[in-house]
Amino acid sequence: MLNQPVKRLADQQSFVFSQHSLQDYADCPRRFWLRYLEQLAWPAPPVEPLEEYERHRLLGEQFHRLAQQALVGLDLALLEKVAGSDPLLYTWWNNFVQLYPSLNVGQVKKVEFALSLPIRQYRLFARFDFIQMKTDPLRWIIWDWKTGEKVPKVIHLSQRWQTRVYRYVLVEAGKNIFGTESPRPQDVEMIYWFAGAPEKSVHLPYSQEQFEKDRQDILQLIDWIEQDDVFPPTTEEKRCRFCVYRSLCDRGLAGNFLDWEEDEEESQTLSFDFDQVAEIHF
Amino acid sequence: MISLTSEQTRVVNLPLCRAFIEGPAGSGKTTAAIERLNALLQSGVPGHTIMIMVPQRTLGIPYYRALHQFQGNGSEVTVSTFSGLAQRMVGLFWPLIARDAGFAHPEQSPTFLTLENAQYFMASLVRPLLDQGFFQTVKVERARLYSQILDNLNKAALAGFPHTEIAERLKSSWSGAPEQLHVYDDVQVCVNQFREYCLQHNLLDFSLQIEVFSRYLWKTLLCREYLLASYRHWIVDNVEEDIPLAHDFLLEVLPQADSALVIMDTDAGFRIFLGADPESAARLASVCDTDVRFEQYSAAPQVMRDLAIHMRDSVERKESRHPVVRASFSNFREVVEPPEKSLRFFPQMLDWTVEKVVTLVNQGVPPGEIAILAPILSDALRFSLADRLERHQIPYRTHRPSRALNDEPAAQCLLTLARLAHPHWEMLPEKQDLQKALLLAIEDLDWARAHLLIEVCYRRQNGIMTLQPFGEKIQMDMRERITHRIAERYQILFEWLQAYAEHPVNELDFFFSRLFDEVLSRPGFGFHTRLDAAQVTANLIESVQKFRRAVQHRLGDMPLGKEYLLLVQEGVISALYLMNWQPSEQNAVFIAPAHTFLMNNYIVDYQFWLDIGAKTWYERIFQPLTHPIVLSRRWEPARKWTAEEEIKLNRNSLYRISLGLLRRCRKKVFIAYSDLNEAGFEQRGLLLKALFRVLINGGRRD
Ligand code: SF4
Repeated sequence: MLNQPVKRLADQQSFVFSQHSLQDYADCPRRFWLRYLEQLAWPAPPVEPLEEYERHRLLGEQFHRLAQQALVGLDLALLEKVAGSDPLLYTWWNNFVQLYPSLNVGQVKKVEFALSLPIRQYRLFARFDFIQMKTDPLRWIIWDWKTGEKVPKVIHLSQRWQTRVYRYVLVEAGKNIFGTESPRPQDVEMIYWFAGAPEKSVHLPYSQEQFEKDRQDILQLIDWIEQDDVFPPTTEEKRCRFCVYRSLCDRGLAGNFLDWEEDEEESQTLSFDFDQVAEIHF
Repeated sequence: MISLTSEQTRVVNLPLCRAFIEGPAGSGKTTAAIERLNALLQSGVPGHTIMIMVPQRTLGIPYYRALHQFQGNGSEVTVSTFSGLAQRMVGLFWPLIARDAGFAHPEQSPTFLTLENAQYFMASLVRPLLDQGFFQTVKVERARLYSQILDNLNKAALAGFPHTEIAERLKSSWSGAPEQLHVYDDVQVCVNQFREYCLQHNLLDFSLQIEVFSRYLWKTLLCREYLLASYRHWIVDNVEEDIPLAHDFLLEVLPQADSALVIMDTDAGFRIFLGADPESAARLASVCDTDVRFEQYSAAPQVMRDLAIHMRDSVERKESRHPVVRASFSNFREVVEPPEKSLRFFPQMLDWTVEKVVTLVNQGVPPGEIAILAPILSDALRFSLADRLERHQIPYRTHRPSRALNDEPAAQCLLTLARLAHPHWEMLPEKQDLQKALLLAIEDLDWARAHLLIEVCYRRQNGIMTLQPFGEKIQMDMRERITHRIAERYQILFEWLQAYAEHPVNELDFFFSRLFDEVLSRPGFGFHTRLDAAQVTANLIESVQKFRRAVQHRLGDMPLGKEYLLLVQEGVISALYLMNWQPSEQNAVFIAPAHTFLMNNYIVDYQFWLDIGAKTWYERIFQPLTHPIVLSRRWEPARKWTAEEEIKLNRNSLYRISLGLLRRCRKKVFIAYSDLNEAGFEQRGLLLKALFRVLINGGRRD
């Protein structure tokens, strides 16, 4: 079955697109097919050494949690103690504390907030670290915390599907959520904030023109995915280094952590997460 | 567009208010609530201000499906259980309450324990006590002993009384032999030690999550304001299956909400043994300003509902208070079908069941309209049914998002290779286990060559079994029989294990992940094309990883992998929970325990009730260390639990379950029974007797 795709997008009763799935299709259609249509678990290390990868990932999660706690109003002094459990986390936290006063203002502050909208017969979903709306001048800012070792190039970030999907979804879905105050493209900005190097943070403003282009490109990509019945493997083999399906595609071994660019784990997109409940019986 | 009854339309069009909706199962309450949800969203209520609370995740499925199909822009609606909400809040506000709640390290993150990991900690605390003579008179498997002790903690938390009162409550209600009182004292020592240990190490089992939320967090202004401001609209479904603490919480929240729908099934309460309390749920009507009763419509036909009423009277051995004309008794025969002739053995009953399923499917009944229900579904029974259905190529789906570890060859293969790779654990595998593992690990290897391979390559060296290279020393005829291709693959695996032995790791999940990536899932190896094996590997890795993260503080020099394997041997870890398990939407026969079927809230055309002579349809399992009723809020402390109470409980359970099932059946119930049960004993339980009384004489006393 693996050499012959059997499941197509059209077979899915309901499908939720996200920045991850669109990026996967753009990087490698085969990966999209394996991950989202076949939902094939392939428990290979995404990167080596696993030990370092895991440590970094857990610290990243802890940082996201601390930022969320701070933004819902927990006392920063309390959180500092938690951050003190690891020197790297503490550095990130201290950088965040510098930023905090500018985050703690504005008419709209939404932490870990998810928005979605219908697109064709599917949905497009985005979960934001933090959305902030400030007046004078009016700005809608999408904050995305990054804890990876590498700071990607601006051009690379601006072209990533995360940037395009997040800004597009905020404008499009925001209409219903934020009422008359809803964001217009020219008032939106996305900021990638690097916890280890805040001075290198990347600001990506938005525009009506880019909004229209994003809409077209997202629809175009979905059309391609709908029509695809081959889902070919990428021809750029370097993309395989950080893909778990390497052994399935016979594409070498795991890439090194130092070359790896942070890619946050896919968040739950309207999916189930079952409680471990004991079976009921008498 | 579905057409709605007038009751449903009324609910959908209610103004923003708090409404209490009551009615029997199958009367369309959830459908009305889903339409109401759509109406709220369409009217501009933001999704993130809506909370849908259900007692069990499966009951949230219809809401998820509706949300997937919603055609508007929006923010995310939350669908949660009370305990899920409690866990999320404890995680978010942890630094705020950790110190007050008694945790020794409030500045460190908490660890939420899975059921298995909680059992692990309980096991490590109880084992030394067993050596000191604790629980000497109790004859149950170790794994069940640990889980029953934990169950006590959960029950205390769900009912809302201190865990320190568990023994006192159990003892004061006990009316049997006095030796049992010591057992309850032993239980108290164990729960106290466990709770203390959790507090010392920031561990939160299910009971502690609930307690920390209800006793500490919910009292803080920040959490209260956060929840009340976040969720302005509440839809609370199947409230009768939820716990009193959830009701207490809702009694405080709902009066402050902008709108609420509280939905209650009458005559339900199937989760009573998990703390459900329908009487407590009824209190929520007092904070609602409108009542809507659903009485018009039922998914089940009238004859099925009449049958349900007569079953109740028959179970309670009362004269029927609901006179029905004689003709309707014969109608019962049209909706209940027993085997044409008596069946002596259990497998014959299964054959009869599957024959009937085949006939229905051949007549054009969609498999998804058929449910095969048993009081308890053992793995063996599940397998027997699945095997028979497969032979007839009838699709089926199983009821739970887990698989038994022992039934998974891929998991066994990985665990065997882990033992081989870590000789210092002193758990080297037997030859036949290694043979099985290689059979799966190496593609194209057959049983005979696997045997030869083991004979020449797994040998005793310096007193211990050691894996050998496929080297020059092996005789030519043997080399030819094993074949060059197999030898080459074996050698790759051997060399990988040799290289690993130079730098072994303590993280067993890393070992599995690398072994999978670098060898087993490569071309020429068994996991490369077996997608199911990859799924099982992923589940196993997740289980080990959760275990590692929870226990690493306590292991010291003890290898994590060895500890994990010992737990598997002891039966504490016996199942793999599937990640991202999605309820199957396929058109397939549903095989499940009757309670699971009820708690999924399905309605089907045809039901098969298996083994209706079994007492397990209504009797509690043997639980010498706990008691679901005595440890509930409803039970007055010091009141004795007597044999009469037990009989009353059994009859009540049977009544509720048969009523629940009949209300979820549109066309026919097939009642399957054999003279001898699975274990070879005759059983003529209450369900069998009550059903036959109804079928023969309409439920009147003989
Ligand atoms: S390994 Fe390479 S070809 Fe295969 S799915 Fe991954 S990125 Fe695509």
